[in-house]
Amino acid sequence: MALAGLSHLSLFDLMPEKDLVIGHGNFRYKVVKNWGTLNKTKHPVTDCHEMVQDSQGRIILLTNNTKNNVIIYNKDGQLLDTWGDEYPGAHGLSLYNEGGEDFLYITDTEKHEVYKTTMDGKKVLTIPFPSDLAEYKDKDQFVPTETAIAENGNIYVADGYGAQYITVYDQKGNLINYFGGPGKEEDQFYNAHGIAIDNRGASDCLLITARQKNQLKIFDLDGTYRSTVDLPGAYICRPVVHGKNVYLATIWSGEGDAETGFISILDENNRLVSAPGGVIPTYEGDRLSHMYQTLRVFKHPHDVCVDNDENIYIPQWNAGNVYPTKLIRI
Amino acid sequence: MRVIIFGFLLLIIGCKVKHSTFYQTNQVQLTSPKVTVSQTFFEEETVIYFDQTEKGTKIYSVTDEKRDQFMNDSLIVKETQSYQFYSCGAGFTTSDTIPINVFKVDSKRIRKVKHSTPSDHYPGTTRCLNDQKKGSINFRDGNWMGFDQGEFSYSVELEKGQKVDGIVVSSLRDYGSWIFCPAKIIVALTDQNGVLHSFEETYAESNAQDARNGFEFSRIRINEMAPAKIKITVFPPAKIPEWHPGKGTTPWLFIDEIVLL
Repeated sequence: MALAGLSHLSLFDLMPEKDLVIGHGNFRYKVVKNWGTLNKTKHPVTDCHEMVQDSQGRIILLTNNTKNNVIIYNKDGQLLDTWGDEYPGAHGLSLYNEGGEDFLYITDTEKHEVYKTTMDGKKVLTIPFPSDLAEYKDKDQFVPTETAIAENGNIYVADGYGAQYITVYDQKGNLINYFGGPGKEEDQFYNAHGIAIDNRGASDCLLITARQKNQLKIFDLDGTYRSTVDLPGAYICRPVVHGKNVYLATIWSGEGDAETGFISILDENNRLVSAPGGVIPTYEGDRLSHMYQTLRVFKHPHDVCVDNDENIYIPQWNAGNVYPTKLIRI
Repeated sequence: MRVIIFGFLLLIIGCKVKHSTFYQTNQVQLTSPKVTVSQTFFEEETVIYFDQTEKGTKIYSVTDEKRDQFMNDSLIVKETQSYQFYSCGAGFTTSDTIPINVFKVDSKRIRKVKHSTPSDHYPGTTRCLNDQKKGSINFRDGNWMGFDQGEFSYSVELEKGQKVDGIVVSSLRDYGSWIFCPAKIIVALTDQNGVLHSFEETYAESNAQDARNGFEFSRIRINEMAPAKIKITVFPPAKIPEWHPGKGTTPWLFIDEIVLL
């Protein structure tokens, strides 16, 4: 049974136990019991969409439950703080340190806006739908799923559930560029769900997920298409760059059936090297074999947060209102 | 002495269970094995392929005749068969089973075919109901005929002497697309003397818990005979059930194959 619905201990479980280990190669993990579980009446969650770690080492969770959209934990899963009651469509969560101060960027798919806030929830910038663009006649067409902030402060917004454009703004929220859109071409998207700045190479670039295509697309910061990484069978949510690796929550797998999620971890060459909860990644030359779930550890993982200890946190969408899962790297 | 040793062992086990911070292997279920079939409807043989499972686990099958047969990478099948495959091993909880049905058919039997007109949006192909080609889980792949006007009828005339002892109607279940499986099937056979024989099967009401998209093979057993004509009438549920957002409306029926056994 998936951890979003635990199996009960039976007499068999009293036999000498074996800690569950998931993942492959150098990226193997044990799964912590009941991390971050809170009182469901006082601090409920609905969909747990995304998580980040701030400069103080705290773990920040974004949920679309308006009792407490933002839940702040320490790394042990103890509650530190909560805030936010005005984000019914809270979806994307990014953190950017500006001049020594952390800021959060929250996308709301129901309010069709993006917000920059302080760490205690004060709004400092609101980005509405890009009404200046001919492609956006109505705010309902703008359903932003993710943001990424470049070194120069430019804000990239992925409209993953709307018109599929990537819109680019300066630090003050002025629209300065846009690219992408829906379609089958290499520089177009089908569910541009997640976006991240990739600073691993000689020059920064963008990693953008085309989730329904099972692809990770690479663009220059000016929107010029570079290349595509095919991850067949992996419906990837958003890329998280940490060190030389990219971590991606894979919300569905195989043929895209429900409750078939796992985690994808890429190396510095963007090859899949570990799939906790999934089949061992296998390549024939440059071609990855079709990926699928083999262990029912996760239902619908939606994000991966990697902390400074190399441990990871997995929030889940549509998983029975469960709190995030923590994986300890071994 | 044995009691002391046993008690000591229980103490160790108890301590270890009590302080375990992590989930245990036996608390996690394996995912059902990934299985692909070269041809669901075949004349000579078909091959069932098994993809890699979690390290240290194996795939087994259950049929009406045999239980818990270990599967290698592939399985050659030469007769109509229904399997349930599952994964187990390495201390994990055994997976749910996955049903796989394959059917041996004889495509030379049919002389003439007539059927209800499908929806303009999902017309399938001219021969898709007896081309032995299985539709995919995507009802838009061109291999399915879609019907949204209630019952569907299919009539065939057979070459003389062709024996039939069963009918299979292959349909799709996709509740999210308002597509439901047959609720009832009536088979009317006219023998060589013009006598009518009728068989009927009804099927369990669609349940929200069966929500996973998939294929349904509705089988109607008949007394073996050499009919001149066969008319098959497929009835979807009269109305979409109460638990569904489309409750009270007429469901879609999607069929990709009618098989004479």
